[in-house]
Amino acid sequence: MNKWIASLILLLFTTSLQAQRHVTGYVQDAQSAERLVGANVFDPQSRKGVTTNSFGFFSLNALTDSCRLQIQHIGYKTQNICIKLNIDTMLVISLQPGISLDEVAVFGENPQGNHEFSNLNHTQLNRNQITSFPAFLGETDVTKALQYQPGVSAGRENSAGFNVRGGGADQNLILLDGAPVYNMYHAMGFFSTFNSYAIKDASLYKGGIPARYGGRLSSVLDVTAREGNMRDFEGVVSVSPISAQASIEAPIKQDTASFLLSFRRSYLDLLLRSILKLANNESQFGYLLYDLNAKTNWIVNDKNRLYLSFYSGRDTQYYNYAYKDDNFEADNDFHWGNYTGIIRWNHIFNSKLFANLSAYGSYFENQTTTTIDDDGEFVKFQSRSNLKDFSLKSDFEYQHSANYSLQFGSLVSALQFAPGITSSKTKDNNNTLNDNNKTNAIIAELYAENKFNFKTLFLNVGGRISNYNHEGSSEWSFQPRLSAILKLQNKLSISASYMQMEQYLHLLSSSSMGMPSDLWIGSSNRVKPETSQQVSLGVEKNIWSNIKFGIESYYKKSENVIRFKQGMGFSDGSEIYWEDAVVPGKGRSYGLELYAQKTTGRFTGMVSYTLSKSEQLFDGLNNAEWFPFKFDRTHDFSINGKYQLRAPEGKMRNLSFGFVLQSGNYYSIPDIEQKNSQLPGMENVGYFDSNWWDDYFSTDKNYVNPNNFQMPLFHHLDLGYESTKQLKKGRSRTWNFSIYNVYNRQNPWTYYKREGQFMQLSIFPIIPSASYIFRW
Amino acid sequence: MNCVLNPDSSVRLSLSYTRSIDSNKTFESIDDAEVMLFENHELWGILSNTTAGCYELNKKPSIGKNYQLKINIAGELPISAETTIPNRLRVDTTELVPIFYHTEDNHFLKSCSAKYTITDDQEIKCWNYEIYKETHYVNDSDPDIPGHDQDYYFFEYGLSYLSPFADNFNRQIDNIYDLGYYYHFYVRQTNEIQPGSAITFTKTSIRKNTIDYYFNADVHYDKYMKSRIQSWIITEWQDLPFNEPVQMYSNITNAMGIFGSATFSFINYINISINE
Repeated sequence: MNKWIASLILLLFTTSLQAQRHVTGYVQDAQSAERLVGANVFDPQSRKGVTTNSFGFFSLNALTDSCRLQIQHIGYKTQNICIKLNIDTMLVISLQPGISLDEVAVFGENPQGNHEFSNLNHTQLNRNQITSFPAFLGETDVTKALQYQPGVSAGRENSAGFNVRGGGADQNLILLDGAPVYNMYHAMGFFSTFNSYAIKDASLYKGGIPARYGGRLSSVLDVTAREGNMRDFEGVVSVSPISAQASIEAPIKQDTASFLLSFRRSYLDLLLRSILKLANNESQFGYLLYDLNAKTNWIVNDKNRLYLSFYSGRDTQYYNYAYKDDNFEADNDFHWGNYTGIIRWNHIFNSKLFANLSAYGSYFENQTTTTIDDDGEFVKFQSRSNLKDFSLKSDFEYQHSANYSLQFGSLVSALQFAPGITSSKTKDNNNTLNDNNKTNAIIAELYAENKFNFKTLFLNVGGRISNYNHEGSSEWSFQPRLSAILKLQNKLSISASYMQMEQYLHLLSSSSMGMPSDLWIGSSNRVKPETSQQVSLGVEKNIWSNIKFGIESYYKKSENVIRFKQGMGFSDGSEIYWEDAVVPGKGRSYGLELYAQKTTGRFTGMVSYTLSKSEQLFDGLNNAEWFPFKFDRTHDFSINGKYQLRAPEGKMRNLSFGFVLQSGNYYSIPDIEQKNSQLPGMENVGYFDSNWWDDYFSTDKNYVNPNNFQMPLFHHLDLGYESTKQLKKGRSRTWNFSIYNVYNRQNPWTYYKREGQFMQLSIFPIIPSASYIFRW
Repeated sequence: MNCVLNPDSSVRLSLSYTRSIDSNKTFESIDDAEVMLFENHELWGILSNTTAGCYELNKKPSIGKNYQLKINIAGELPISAETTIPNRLRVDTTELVPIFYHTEDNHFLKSCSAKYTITDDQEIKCWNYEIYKETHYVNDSDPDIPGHDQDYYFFEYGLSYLSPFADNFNRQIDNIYDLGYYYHFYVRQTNEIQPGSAITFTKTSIRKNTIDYYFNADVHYDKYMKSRIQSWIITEWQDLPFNEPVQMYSNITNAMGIFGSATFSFINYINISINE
């Protein structure tokens, strides 16, 4: 071992002794000057390359005085540049959007794509890719696009929540511009909070998660919002059956500062208000959701750049009524939402060292308010739960030599959990109860990633040290991470990874949907942090010049995952002694993932298949034997594609499709009936049909083993058609038509028993929709 | 297996096999079991089989004592469970205040209000329900209908009042109720944040001919009640697809059901006189 380390140090040392020049810089969109995340900067001579970070920055060491660089990014024309390197050089490389469709391959000498991660462990989608999937109700969604990836599936039909390699949706770290989003759902989970028009890029890590990320067991979804056009005023409005959206972006100062504002709002409530008003109804009820993304950035000088981002997303369900003759008015309001704000400062210390310093706040709340005004008697009752997260974060990237770079940083988070705080207010009193339910936690973390980049081998060896301090108790953990890619001949690569993860937050949820009542709770002395370890091994190959094929196996085991005890549930966030309601257990999942992907040409698409198993074990449940996790999907096949039709100049027409075929969900379904004693007050009070009354209140449906039922095969085919016409002055209009569930498959949502018969409930039949987009 | 001990009643226990959910057969009772009850770990009595699946012991349990149940059935694993009888809650109310409907030329009694204080020196898991009485409900003008002149007692399936101690797990929005919501079947209130502290609230829907019950449940019966009501709610509102089936709580080893206890208090509003 020591010999191996000595050889490694010697190799690094000798490499650094060679005459080296540093090429650093940014890759950006040529039209908007927006920085591009995940672009490949490749030196064909040394066969070494790097990928731009989430700020579009790269740093590369060149071994010769002249250097030819090849820069690639999906959706952009590949660019080759030659530079003379007498001194360290800083570049701003602009890529032209679009690809030449008649050309077949554009991969050139760099077929491996991202240098650091296998495509099975890491997926990156840009805005164009996200919107190329068939829409549901006119809305495209980043998380639904990701559900086509192997190892990723939806919790329930049409849920924006996703499960990675058999893990729960709560085990995914969701970041928006670096700040965590604690509830990413709108409309009971049917849509994510991410407005596709405001997104630049989304990266999903499923395995070999680098040490810079931590806090969840299964995956990281790192979403970057658009920065705003540095050169021109640009805007887009869109209308779908459920919402309307408007985005504007413009330079504040040409090539120096810009802003982006994007707002999306549903309009069901507006229609309902009008209808109820026309009907002269004193009651008002409805539902609305909105998102607001705001972002600005300022290039202070060559070495400094500032970003300021804000996000607010909220859902409101209300029911208000009044009896004006009686001077009576009652308002019921239930709302939930996220707010995040982050300020980031990029600083280039020198050609070797790049830094990003961030300060952010993230807030999630759900609140129920009932207000009564009965002839002057005023009563207000409120129940609310929230989570506050204020954090400071630093990230540094140090390019030591052509073979070695170091990424390191820290995170300090102050969290406050406030579950089920209730208050009542009258004219005379104002009481807040269980205010002492609030608890605080501090998380402090340090990480380091050592990246070794040899000709055929890339290694990322690192770790994350974290301390969790909650109400006086302290937990330490060290989470080692390793990922390796070995590039062989014939465009073949082998990847392997190991990761250990620690999760200090638990999600209390009774549903697989992503309900607003889902509540994050911090670990405590009694309920320990969740931990997991995962290993993966994969092979990838470019079969032809533009088709990639990959296969990967993984094994993951986790400890201290929680589940509600038998008969316990969580319905409204007011469960006070949640520690009494949950039981810790173990999880394990393993599987094999395959994919084939065509990324260039007139037709692009992907086929994926996952064979997997995910199980859980809890004391006191199922006789302490392993049982299937509700998100276990033994078989998961999907295929999606997009075909660009030939169209006259100035027009663009695309056909898209998506097909999913999966094993059915596991589900806890009552499979027995038991005779129970009457509950107090219910004995001998019936008068209509005492037999029915007795039977109804003394016979209960129950189940012994959790997830005892597997639903039938789940499948649906979706189609989409998009037509864009370029108008004068750079304007364009797009019609998007889509059909969800083309052949009207009645996929089961749930089951129940009625009049002695088992009934299946399906809620998504064939759903055609259309949306309109206007850009200028 | 179901048995809920109550210091005001002798012990009754029911025992039957579960049945498959797609079966329409009646429950098969178990009549040859050996059922033993222990009080603070001393044998307190052996229950005798009286009717199909029903066992009884003519003794009343005592508040504060711990009871253990052991059942042996031939060919089955031994069944066991335990419970501790909770304290009887003290329920105090202020004097009733009538609430009237006002019209242009008259007024009618709508209901009464009173402030409630529920106290105990320990943790309270209080469940409230109401029974109201109606006489001659069927049809008092037709003497041929059996029972036309009897009193009938109805279980009030929805209670509506404002209490910051109430657990909202079964609260439903409904504009029929003055407050715009009701609690399905029961209202659960606890002082578990500050055990020993009083629970105070105001009821504005008190009516004549009502009996207002409050019972303090032991930890197991409390969880069992909650899971049964959650399960009922899901069964009843089948059009709400977002709820997933709730597993019924059970504290019994090698069987399903409940071995719990509850202690009852009530306020009788049957014969109250209200100055209208």
